Amino acid sequence: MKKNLRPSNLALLTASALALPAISQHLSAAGPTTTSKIKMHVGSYQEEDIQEEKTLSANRGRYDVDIGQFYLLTPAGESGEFTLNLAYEKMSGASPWFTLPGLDGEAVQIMSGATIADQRTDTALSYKHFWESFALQFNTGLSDEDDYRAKNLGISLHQELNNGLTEVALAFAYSRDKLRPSDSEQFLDRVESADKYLQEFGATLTQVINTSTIVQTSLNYETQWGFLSDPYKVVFVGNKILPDTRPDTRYALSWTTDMRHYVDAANAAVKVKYRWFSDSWGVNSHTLDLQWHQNLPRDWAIIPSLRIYSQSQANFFDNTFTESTTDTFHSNDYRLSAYGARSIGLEVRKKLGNYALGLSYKKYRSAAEYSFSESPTEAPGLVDFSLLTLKLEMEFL
Amino acid sequence: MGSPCEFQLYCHSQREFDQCCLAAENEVIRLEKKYSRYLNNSVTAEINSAANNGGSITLDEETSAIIDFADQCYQLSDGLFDLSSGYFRNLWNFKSRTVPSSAKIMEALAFVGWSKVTWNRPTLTFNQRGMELDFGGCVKEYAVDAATSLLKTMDISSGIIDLGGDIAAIGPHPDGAPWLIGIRHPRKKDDPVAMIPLASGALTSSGDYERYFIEDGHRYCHIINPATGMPANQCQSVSVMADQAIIAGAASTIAFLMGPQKGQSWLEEMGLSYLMIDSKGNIDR
Repeated sequence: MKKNLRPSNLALLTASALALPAISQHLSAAGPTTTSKIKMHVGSYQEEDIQEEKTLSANRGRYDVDIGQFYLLTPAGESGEFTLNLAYEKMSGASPWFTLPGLDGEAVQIMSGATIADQRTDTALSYKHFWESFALQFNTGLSDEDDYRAKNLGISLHQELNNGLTEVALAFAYSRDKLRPSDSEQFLDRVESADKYLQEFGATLTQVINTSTIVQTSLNYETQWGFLSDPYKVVFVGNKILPDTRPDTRYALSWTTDMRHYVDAANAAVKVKYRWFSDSWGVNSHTLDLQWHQNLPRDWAIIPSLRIYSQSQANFFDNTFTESTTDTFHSNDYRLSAYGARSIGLEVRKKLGNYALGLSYKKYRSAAEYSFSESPTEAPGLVDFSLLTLKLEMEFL
Repeated sequence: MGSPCEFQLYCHSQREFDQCCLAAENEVIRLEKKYSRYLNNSVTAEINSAANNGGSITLDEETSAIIDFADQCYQLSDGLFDLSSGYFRNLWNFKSRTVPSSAKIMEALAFVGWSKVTWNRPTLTFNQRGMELDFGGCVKEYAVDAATSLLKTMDISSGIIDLGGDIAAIGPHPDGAPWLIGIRHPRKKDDPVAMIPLASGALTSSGDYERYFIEDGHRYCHIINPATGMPANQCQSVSVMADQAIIAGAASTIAFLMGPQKGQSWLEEMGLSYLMIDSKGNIDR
């Protein structure tokens, strides 16, 4: 057959064809699920030991977390669907406590002394109701740890336009977190209890470009207020130990765009996602995610992925503070430092009838030199980790 | 659909296969009933009642989308793709096999022409009494796309839909090999003129061998030029590949009506792959 490559009038015809409901409705899948889906993941998250030259602590081990996750999506009546997410995490190990100037002038990390053991359970429930071209979703969730409890509520409105090829969604979320730090009787500066709050507004536009391509872009604005410091971290200012102290408000704006494209010739799908984030603490970040989902014969699939991340440091971050520091706010939390991270992942999946099995492995490395910031100060507490996850998923009528 | 229909799907169980076939079949039957010329309660019958009386009719979303598509094809084909060609079935009767007189053809042309229709979505107004629309040129192809799209949502990734020669691949065989589609020789029924590999997308053909008669050595087929009222006779068949069957179907009809030279350059300009056999049997691919 003769092959030609000039699409202008064809693009017009394709747009008309994709507006045909029996083609587009199945594309946009804008109705409640008709099947139930269950996903179960068990994972092992392991942080690598902190390097010897970066700490004065004898025990260089960090966090290990065992993870169990359960997901259920099920129809609820003719025009609704329920989603339930459960997560259980069992953590143990040590975490960065504070930093000191080392002998060579480079900051060194002091780790929390005793092994911390904690567990977290997370429950999230949502219900989405569909009308002809409109849907409303309600979310609620509860996260519980020994020293932490968070409750959240959310609502989102989804309006389809353009025969279901376009969707506009508006979302609002609110959460209230209660902290009750352990061992506060031993550490006089540690708060006994505190609250923090978050509210978030988001707007999302999703557009089906053609049968192979879908693009989504969203803008989010969040406000946090209350006790936003880390109650377990302290800062040395001269000879004084002061608690980690951060502003009691944080405003953040983020913009996320992702594209999913099915590559017919390769029987593969590519996902590209970019996120820009900027907050009132001076943290600006860029995240780029790339994923290639390669379908293989006999229902096998292999999914390599890459993530590149970079952030600038918060205005009040430093590794060491001198006595002349008069700033109200100070933190040496490595998560507020200027750093970048690279992670690579690989997942292998096999479909067996209504079941799918997957095994994924992710390796994450972070360093100040990966940051796009100029001459960043490296926090000695920056973490490297690996995550191994086993997935079992099933779908039934 | 008035012609043999076939689904070939790779499924994990007989039950899954049965469910998928039933769902796809129901979707095809739904469209057939909705747009049948022969059922009194079909949308086509309602439209043609308005067309016959010369008046307006308000259409549902799906029918409006089909009209939009056909309207676009009319614009892109300089009027060759015309839903109002329906009237010609009163003129060319392939059972009685008679060539109408010039006077009859001239008379028929008065009742044909998309320009005599005002399309103001969702209202269709017939400015001329006695007209007739025929969705035959796109509904079968739309049904192929609808079934394909539905089966994809049912997690079928390997399979093929064939509704009377309008074909779409849901995806290649599980080992990645494409389906091989035989293109019928217009003059030798069981002798494929070419085998076309199809891993995804659609392939449809328009030919002068489906409904025709021969009179005085002339072949008169069912694809009628709306400008002249005469059957197109410059091609034996045109097969077109496109992402959607409805596009392939419209494009093959348009190119068939245009004839070899104009048809080929039009298809090339559209960016579509094709195989064309002209009236002398020469193949261009």
